[in-house]
Amino acid sequence: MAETAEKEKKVIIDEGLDTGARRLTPERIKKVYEKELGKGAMGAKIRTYVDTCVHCGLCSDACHVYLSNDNDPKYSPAGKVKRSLGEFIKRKGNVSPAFIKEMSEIASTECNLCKRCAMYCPFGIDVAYLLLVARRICHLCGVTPLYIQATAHSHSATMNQMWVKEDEWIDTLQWQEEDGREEMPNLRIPLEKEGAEVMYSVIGPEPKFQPTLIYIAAYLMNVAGIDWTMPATPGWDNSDMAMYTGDNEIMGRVKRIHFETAARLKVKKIVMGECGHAFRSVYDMGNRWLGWKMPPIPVVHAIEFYYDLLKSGKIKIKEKYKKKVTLHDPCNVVRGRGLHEKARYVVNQICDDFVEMYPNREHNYCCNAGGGVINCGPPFKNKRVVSNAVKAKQIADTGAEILITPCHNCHSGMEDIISHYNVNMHTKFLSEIIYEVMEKPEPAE
Amino acid sequence: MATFAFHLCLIILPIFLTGHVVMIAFSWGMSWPTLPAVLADVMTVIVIACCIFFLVRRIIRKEVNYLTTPSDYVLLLITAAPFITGFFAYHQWLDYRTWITLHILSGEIMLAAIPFTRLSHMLFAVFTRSYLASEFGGVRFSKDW
Repeated sequence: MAETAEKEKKVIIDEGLDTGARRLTPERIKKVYEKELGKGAMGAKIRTYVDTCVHCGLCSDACHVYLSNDNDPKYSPAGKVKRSLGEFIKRKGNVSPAFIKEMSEIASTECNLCKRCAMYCPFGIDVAYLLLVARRICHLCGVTPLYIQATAHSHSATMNQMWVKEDEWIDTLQWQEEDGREEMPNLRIPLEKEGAEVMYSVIGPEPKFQPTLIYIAAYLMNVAGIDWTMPATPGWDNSDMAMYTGDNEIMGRVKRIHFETAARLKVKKIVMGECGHAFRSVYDMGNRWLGWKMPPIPVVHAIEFYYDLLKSGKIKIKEKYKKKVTLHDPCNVVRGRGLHEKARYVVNQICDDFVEMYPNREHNYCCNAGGGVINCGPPFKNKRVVSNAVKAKQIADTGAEILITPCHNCHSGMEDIISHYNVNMHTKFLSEIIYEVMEKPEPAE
Repeated sequence: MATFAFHLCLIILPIFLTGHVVMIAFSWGMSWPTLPAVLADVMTVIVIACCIFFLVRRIIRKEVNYLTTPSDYVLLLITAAPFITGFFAYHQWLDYRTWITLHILSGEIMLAAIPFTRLSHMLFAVFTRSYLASEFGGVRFSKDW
């Protein structure tokens, strides 16, 4: 198995990495080193982490990449740092462009920044943070994998992840509204409603590939009688792939326009769909880059929103879902926000036959798609799928038919694993099941 | 398990050892309760045994070996040395003068090495751990262990 991973590694050609490394000069690398870690730079946290690691190796068992690649030590969290950031710091930035290319591949495709390792480290060293710093250094050197860099460009040019044009966005919403009115004649997706209580935001791919999720959200909002709105301007996208390339500047711009849009609409809170990394961007990284300790307008993740809807009885369940389900715990909403119990409440409300996978909650394994890894695209797909054998085993062991993944990246990643390892399961979002089992009002004739 | 025993004995021993307290009482007039001799012996052996365990683990376990640098072995030696030399000196095996001198030297080396090596984790661990704990517990509402 390790040999296959090695072979894959030798054959992977990524145009972004190659071109970036070709154009890179040692002088630029040195400049980046000075800027991020040199005198006067704010590198104290990084240095403390790197100096405090006593090479105990306890982080290894935390990482799905290590475990899936036959316990190859070079894929352990500390091993990955050693091969990338550790070496960079030790040589004070005197490294070759080829090294930066290697560092970019390690940080961008061998780690999902899921922070499971930080839990296992006796010192609480945040290895995911260190690899994010490595990504930032590679970004400043101009060496990023092609596909995720293209996505970051989309963020930069259109303020959304999918090159969705302004009119396409409005068209998609109105199209879903039209479809929805066939089921529920007074269904509305209020656009640009000032003073609404809730602004609903989605990730870029939703209007492009998954508009049914917008449909379902609109349906839930209307049945529950929520005073909501959606923006018609750029700033509707809460996703953030720039964050994962280390491009904090674009991350800041994208988040600022998102919060400013909500502020312009004078809403009390932002409710977002079932996404993991978007939540991390609004709650952990984007808001802090912009100087806010907490998001300036409260952001409620879909899991918490469904919990409120079900608990308050605004949405009632007609008949529980019969198929056997299991629940995946996406890192950014569980290790990132502690929503594991609320998610379980929702699942138990809507499903009859729920079986846990092990380990679960904060200790659940990463999907291996998030953290920008699936966004690095086709060149790395095989490597990514090979590096998550433990997850395939974990979900197969539950014997469930349906895998609930309250996160878009996890959803896609799991589908890849399910097909690669021939696991007999299907993935679903929470909203899809809620829509299927909820009490629907009679359409007025 | 091993690290708990190791760290506990490592810290308690030098502070509550009769031999050390006697010297402080002699210089500064302060004194405090000390460990019974047998217990001190047992704890020293525990420390030395744990050091051997760590050494073997570092060599045998692949994931630890991969991360190991020469300094890891040196640090282990520096840490074990005060306990080995102290044990020899206390029991007056071989030449007392030599071993007590080695004991004092190795103790000083270990303490002096703290700010310059990974032994600094003694000071940093509290901060890195509590930072992560407060982030996970207070901001992320999730356990960090």
